[in-house]
Amino acid sequence: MTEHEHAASVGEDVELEAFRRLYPLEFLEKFLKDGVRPDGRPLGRARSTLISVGSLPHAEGSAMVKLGNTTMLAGVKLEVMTPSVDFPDEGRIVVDFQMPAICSPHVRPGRQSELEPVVSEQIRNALSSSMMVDLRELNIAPGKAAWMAYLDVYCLDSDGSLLDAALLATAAALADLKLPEVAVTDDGKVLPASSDVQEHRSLKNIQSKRLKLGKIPMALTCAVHPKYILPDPTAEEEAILKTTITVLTDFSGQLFSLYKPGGEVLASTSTVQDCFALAKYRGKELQKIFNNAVIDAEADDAMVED
Amino acid sequence: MIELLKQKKKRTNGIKHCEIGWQSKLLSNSTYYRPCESQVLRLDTTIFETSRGTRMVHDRPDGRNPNQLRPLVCARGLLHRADGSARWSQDNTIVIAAVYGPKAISGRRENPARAVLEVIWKPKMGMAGPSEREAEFILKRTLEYIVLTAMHPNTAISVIIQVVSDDGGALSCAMNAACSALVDAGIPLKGLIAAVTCAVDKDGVIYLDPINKEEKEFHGHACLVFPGKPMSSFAPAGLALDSEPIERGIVTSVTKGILSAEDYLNCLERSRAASVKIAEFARSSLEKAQRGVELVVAS
Repeated sequence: MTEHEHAASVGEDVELEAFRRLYPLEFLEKFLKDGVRPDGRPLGRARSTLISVGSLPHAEGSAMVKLGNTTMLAGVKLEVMTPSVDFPDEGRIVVDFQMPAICSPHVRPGRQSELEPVVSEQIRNALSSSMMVDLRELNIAPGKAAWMAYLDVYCLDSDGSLLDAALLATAAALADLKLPEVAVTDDGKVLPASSDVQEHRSLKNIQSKRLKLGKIPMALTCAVHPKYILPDPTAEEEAILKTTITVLTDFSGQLFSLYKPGGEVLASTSTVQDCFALAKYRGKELQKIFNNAVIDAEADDAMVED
Repeated sequence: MIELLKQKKKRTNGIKHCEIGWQSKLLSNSTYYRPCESQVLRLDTTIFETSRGTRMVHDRPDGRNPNQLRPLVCARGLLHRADGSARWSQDNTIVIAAVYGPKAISGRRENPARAVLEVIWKPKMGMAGPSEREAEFILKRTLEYIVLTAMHPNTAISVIIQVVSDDGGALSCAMNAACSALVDAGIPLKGLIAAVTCAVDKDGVIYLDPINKEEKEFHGHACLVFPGKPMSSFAPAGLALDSEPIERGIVTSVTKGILSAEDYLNCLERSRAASVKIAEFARSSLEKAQRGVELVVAS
């Protein structure tokens, strides 16, 4: 009797939860054979995605993303810095991704999760290669002052496809980012716009503005089984299949990067192409959700200003 | 074959200890390598075509053509305290890998079903930052593909990577070094892996094995890892890909910068071809070493 048959015959007797724990792969395969996933989705569909923008009142830009249970909170804080000599008209974005112990039973307090540096490097790579934000937009006075944006992404609930959610939160927080109105003196001192103009005769006001965004990067993680490709896996599916491919594209489906860190299953060229196709489909879906969320926020802005 | 390697490995232990004098020589002269365990390979492939018709091909700083790899040198068994070690160099990119284990561990990390792999990446200078941590993660997941971890449950295998000098492609260099070091340590493996880095410029021309300067200048680059062609007579059925032989499958793919889908697929083809050469080199250097050992043992 093969292991599979054995598992199947035992499956009838033991309770569902025990079967799920003892034979996780067989449990998953039983679902996949019928064209559904353990959480009830069809094979090729991502979980429901929710973006809410501007959720943190004290951050200059913020966003909260829910991808099924996976929850990410991103916030941008601004600080004035002196730009580097090499790039006098460019600001900087510093990305930090954190997984506190509350997000998953596998993260222990006081210890950095293995995934933390991986996801933050991937966000950094995605931001720099997509050129979503032109760093010159963060310029205040060339050579004298520029904005330094601290972008912090917190994982509140880790249930798989972390990079997808984190990158979406990053993009939404940057779309929400509003550079405040400031006044600059001749020698590059940056003051809040409300300060008294009489004191500094050479004061120049800079209007508050939103960043012009270039191509917006998105990620689609796919868990790979020798026979199936599961986009947007849950933590359980990721743990069972052990192999993931993450495709980084923009919303139009143009590829930036393909990330497959090892794993038990090999990817063939056709697997890669299937992932591209899935990412393209997901890109269209996400673009709608993203635009709605950002447009909603801008409409709210306009109402406040009126 | 793996068992055989393991036996041979045991026999080599005696020789290793006699060579402590040779160790210091190695440290003083980094270009030194043991002739019977190493081999230099130069690829002079001149076949070249671009993906979007005829394009200007940039001159490479070191005078190679786009399809040419840097000379590879692989030396094994150079650290006598480690269970296995290897030094893999691609011209100025040099990486030393040491393997300890399988050794006993206790506590939370212990896994009753399989051996735990741990990878430590030491940069050339300074402290390990997030990018090194990421490299550790990638390397660990890649090696998990070849190491038969189920054979040594409740143990740990540690792989330590020391970058000696980095002139581009350190990640793929480290993958190759780690694979050779695992063989040297006699860890049971499913097969070998071969890692290649390639860069793409704006016109879609692919340059194999870029140096640091090229990695920075070009549009994007990818580090791709492929399994070596299986030489054993039995084909592991579960591993075969639909209609594609195993050695065409991608174990790991890490890209930086922008690669369009077309560029990526071209990169795949080009690096697959190069990986075959690298796998051949790794295997032949390994076989040569085994033969060398046999000669020493016989005499």
